[in-house]
Amino acid sequence: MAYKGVDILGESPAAARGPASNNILRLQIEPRTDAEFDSAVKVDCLGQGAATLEREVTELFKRLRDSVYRYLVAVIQDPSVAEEITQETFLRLYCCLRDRKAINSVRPWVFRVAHNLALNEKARRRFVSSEESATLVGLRLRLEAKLPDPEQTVLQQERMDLAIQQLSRLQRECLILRVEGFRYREIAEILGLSLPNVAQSLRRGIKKLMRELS
Amino acid sequence: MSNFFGTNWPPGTWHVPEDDLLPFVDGELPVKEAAKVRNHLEACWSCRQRIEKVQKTISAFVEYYNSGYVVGLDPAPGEWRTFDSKLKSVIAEADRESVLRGWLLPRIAPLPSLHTMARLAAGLSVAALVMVVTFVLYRTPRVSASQLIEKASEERTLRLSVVAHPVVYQKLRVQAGSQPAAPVTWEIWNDEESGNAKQRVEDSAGLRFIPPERHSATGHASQARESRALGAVGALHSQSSLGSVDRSVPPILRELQQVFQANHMDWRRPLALASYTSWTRSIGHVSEEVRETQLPSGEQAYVLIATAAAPFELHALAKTELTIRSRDWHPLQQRLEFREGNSIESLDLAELAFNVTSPAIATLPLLADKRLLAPLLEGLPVLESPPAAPTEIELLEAETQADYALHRLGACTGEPIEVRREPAGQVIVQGLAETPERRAQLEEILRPIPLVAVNIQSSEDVSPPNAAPDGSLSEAEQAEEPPQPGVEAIQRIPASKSPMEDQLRKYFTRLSAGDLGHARVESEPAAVDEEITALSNEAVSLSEAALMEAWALRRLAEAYSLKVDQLSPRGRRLLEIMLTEHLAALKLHTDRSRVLLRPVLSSLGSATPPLAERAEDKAARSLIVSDSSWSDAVLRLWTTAQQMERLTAYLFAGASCPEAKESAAQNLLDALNTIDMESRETQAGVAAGFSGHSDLTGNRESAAGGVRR
Repeated sequence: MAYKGVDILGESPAAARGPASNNILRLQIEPRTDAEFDSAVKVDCLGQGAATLEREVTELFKRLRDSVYRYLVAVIQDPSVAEEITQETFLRLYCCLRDRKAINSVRPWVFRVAHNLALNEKARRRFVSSEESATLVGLRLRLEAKLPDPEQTVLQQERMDLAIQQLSRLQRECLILRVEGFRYREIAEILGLSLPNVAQSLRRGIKKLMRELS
Repeated sequence: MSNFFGTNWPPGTWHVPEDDLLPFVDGELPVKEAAKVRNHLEACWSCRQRIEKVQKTISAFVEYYNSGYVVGLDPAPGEWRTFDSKLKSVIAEADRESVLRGWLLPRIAPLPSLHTMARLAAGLSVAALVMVVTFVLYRTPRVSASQLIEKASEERTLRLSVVAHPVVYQKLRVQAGSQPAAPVTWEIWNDEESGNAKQRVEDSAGLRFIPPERHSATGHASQARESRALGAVGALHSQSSLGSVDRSVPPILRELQQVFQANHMDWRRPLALASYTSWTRSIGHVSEEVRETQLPSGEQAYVLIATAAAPFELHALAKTELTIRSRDWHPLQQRLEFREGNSIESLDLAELAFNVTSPAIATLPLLADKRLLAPLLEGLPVLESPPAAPTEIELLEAETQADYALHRLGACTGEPIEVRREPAGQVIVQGLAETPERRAQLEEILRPIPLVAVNIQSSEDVSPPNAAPDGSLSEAEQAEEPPQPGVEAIQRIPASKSPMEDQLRKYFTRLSAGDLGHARVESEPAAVDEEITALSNEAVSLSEAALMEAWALRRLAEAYSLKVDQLSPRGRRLLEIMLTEHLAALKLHTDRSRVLLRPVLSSLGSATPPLAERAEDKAARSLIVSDSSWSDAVLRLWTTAQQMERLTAYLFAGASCPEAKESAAQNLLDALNTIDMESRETQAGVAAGFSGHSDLTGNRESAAGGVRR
């Protein structure tokens, strides 16, 4: 699914009226499908000032934080750091909207910032290369308890774990973002890649999984 | 042509290129090509099968991600608790910057023709200048208007509450803003209980009392309050003479009184925040602003500026500026701007003295002998707390501070140290520290707290610790002991076989037999034994740690649940911090337990469908009623934690328990889930119970424009 059209009409007629209407933003996030949000996120900060913006960013935070968080956990393997980065991302969103910078669509923007922050953090902490193979694997023990038929599930999960280990970091990130509902164009935007690059990563990723699972 | 699908197409036939399969499924192929593929698929079974394979792989991955990874992922460790405060500090920072930016930008932009360096220099100098001006004149205060009002009102109430029969004495200078006329000194004695009041003025005509208010001598506060304004009018307008005292009321005071009356303000409580709020409430909407300023004495103060919207009736306030000293939130002066005729006039009130008398003086017949009483009151030093025995509120404050100090040192989860109230009006912290160093550490943090006496012994001071000469227990020992997690549990390693041992052996053997993605391959029974021991140990110590947190929570609930209303804002904050931190620690321990034990326990216990359970969890969480009493929730939590600890001790340390291991395992899982839910519920209760008293660092907008938490 994708969400389109966070439009910030900085130069609305009201903005021209004078300094009293400085904080004019209009955000409208309209779901193209209803798969993710229960209802449309509608952010309307027209003439309401910082308090409204704060409320709306808090609302966006509540709605998007879980998906950002799970993506980050998969990328950096550290729940505390993932939580920190998620929060930092939305603080930056607030600053960006406050400064009336253009954001075309909020969800890809949020993921892109989160992804970049995660990369920085990884570089800072010199994450060992083990993360390349560890993604999503460490959670297997918990899965056993949660799925109805542990024996059967463990087998399936193991195969998928092995298959995922064969993927490159890029392929894995592309696949996760695709599961999170992003289109190729948005994934390219988030990861800072070209569109063909994303298409190729996804194609190869699926091909590898197919090979491992067959 | 051969591809991954192992298909050898006969030459000359077109099939969907392998690279197009996924983009087609994802709807990412250009329309024309997509149509071609679609047409082809209708005709070609092979390609349809290839597409299905791609779909199946996608499904497998999605299922793995959604029902495996996402469901298995624990909630964020900090539960997003810090986000709101971080956002607020970002906003506060932005507020501080915005004044600067508002000045700077228009001044730099219109210099396009200058050389870049010159422009930069100009910009920097303007910035520096603006920064200085901004910081000196317009320092954005850290309090909002509503917080300021709340704080100042609270302080006044508190000040009055510490005296049995409070009589407030206030001496003010009243001056007209526009006229150079000599100021008038105005004194008020206000008996807060009986409602009686006495006023005296001094101007060029000399010192004299204003006649008593006609309706207020009934001795009843509420009646007095109703008649106050009217009575004062009567008093001020009655120009009759009485004895030798000059009864004329200075015109400036009469004018002031009219302003007070017209704006629903309490004539006998000038400067009081109650008067201010009564005015703002009467007109519905005022825009409020808070600025920081410095008093002539060099002390910090806030100026609460309120502006009403035109049109104004006669004597209606257009604007007031109330200066409040930040040290003790005491209002010191006020400027009132109001309509007089066709212009806006102003009056300045400045407090020269303020005092709340001690009970001894207040018992004197206040209005009987005013000439005797007035000098007595006058002589009292301004704004000095009345000497009094520690009140209940002060003792409670001391108790909270002591508890908090112990909390900071981690002495509240199991160390035999208690905080108790002496009948003589003192708080005593007593108990036993493990080492002299620990004792010194505790004493150091407790000593500075007023009204707190410390009586902590180290185990070396008590010799030998278990042999009190008369065989009786020391007071500290008589105090309620923290729970001793099952004696059997302390033995930890199952000397005898624990009920879970077979299950654990099976579990670990299976785990090590298959290659599950971990590089570990162990089949030695000794290695399995080690695993079992490690897991049992961890399970038991986690449950003990959780129990200790629950115990600390229960102790706080018992000590404070009935006294929360008497706590000062600071005391409430400390209590909230202690509760929140214990809850977080409790949740952390049980979360770890759950992660550790779920795979083992669920394979033994009856199968509650875990996915459904997760959903129920979520539903329950969203249904949490935030206004449930936090103390009740804490007690529920304590009961569940006890059960959890007992079951863990039984299952993993072989402690005795009448239950069958299957039901015990299920019950333990349930208990862990319940603690998770209940600790959230308790946190919500704490947040709801304490949210009314936010700290002073919140920003203005959040306080004025609706609270969100």
